[in-house]
Amino acid sequence: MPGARTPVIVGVALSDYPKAPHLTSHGHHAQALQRVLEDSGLQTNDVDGYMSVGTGGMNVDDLATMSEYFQIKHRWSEGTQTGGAAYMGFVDHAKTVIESGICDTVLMTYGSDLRSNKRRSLAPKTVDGYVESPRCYETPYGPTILGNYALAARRHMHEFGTTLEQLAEIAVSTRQHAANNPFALNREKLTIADVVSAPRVADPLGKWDACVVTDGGAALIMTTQERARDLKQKPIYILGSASAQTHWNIGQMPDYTTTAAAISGPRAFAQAGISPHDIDTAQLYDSFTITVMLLLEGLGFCKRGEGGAFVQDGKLRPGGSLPTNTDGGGLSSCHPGMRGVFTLIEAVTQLRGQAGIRQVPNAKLAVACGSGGILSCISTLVLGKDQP
Amino acid sequence: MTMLSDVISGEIPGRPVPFVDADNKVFYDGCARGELWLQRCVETHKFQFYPRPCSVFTGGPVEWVKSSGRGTVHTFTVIRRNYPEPYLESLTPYVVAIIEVAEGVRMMSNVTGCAPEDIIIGMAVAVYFSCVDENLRLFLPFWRPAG
Repeated sequence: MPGARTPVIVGVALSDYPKAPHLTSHGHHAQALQRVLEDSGLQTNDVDGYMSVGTGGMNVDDLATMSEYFQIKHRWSEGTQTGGAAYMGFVDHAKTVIESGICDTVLMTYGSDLRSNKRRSLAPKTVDGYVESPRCYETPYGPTILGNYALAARRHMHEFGTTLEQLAEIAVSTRQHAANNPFALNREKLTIADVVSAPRVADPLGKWDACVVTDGGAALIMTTQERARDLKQKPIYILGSASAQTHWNIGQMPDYTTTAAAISGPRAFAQAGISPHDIDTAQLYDSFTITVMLLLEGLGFCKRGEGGAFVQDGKLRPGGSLPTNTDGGGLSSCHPGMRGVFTLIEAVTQLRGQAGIRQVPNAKLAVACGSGGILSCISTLVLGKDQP
Repeated sequence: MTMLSDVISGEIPGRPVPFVDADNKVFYDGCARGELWLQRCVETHKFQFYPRPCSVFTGGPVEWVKSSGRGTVHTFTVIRRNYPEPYLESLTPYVVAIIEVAEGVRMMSNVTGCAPEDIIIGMAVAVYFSCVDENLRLFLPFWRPAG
């Protein structure tokens, strides 16, 4: 039952994106912090819990460094690095910490200059040309990020007859949402024919099956329902939250067409006491088109293997029955390395009714789902506009 | 049609090579002898990959067993662009595959010795070994269509 200590989301903010050469990774954290304080009406002194993965685009800086950077006097901090699932995991953990009274107000920040910082590299981590276990069982064979997802896409096509056109629909629906977001990196029209005829990067996937590379940062604040009464925004409720992991390196994935969303999704929906059919808008980590399809299936929007048929009627598009990645997603708008927090913030923005021309009418229930590693760690949040 | 040549095996300047340590020395020593060695849980007799000093099934001890070296292609991709390191450019297109080894484990590797268009999921493949660092006599397993 909701009570005074019920954890709620009271602040969200984004830093400048998709191109922000004027900001360092730390600068993205700082700008997002300033904006989330303005958004919520809180001050840094109110914060007694802090969560961050650091300055990660693909690299990781210390949580402790960021705590120092902002001089946050935290009683509790956490930086569990599950990549694109990290900030959903943070909300899950912060919920417990706030409920139990360890902290009252938890800040989360993220920032990355992945696009503008030309020193960044996606090359594998090696020392003097050596790669250590367990990455040594993969890196010497030349896997690529898109190629790793292509392994799952190929298997999905093989097992279920999924087509490139069905996967392309995810790129197309996301691009249509991006057209409604003035900040999105790519807003020009994209057709299914464009997606399937683009050069293949790693068969069976091509250029438009892949996310963009951008700069970006974000911040979010959670506190108690009681504290939220004095703040600027109507609080958003966390109705369900869960995390699960199946592997980390792609070669260890137990089943290439089933992600841990099939574990964390049903747990989160059960907590919320609702089913996927009740959801008004979905914000699903879209590193690649196949990622969205596997998350839709895992979360229970459709059965395993039926993702292709599920998306092909256009229901993910603006005005569809399940508008998905309404800010233009990682596929068209913003992907600075770890997109998880952006899906979370778009979900909150929609539930607040502050999404402007891309607002999903009367959005009351949203799901935000983060995928970290390579379809490895999946954290799911069910968020609500109204008090449960 | 491009043939995936065995050039992707062998010593290639710039390619990261495994760091041989206490966890994987038996594995790489086996590769240098032309043998694929896998770990098996002592209690359950289930196989595991990659090597580590405890069973993923029980947390208990493991033993080393020589593999048949046979497998099938579980899934694969043909890498054509956006490779992470410059040395890979001259190798494209190349195939990264997940091999299901007969003993029941899966491992990433390259499939060579055929055209990319000829590779299908379920295709039978056999392991071979190629030296990736002459100084260290370090060999890695690669796979090609079973004869």
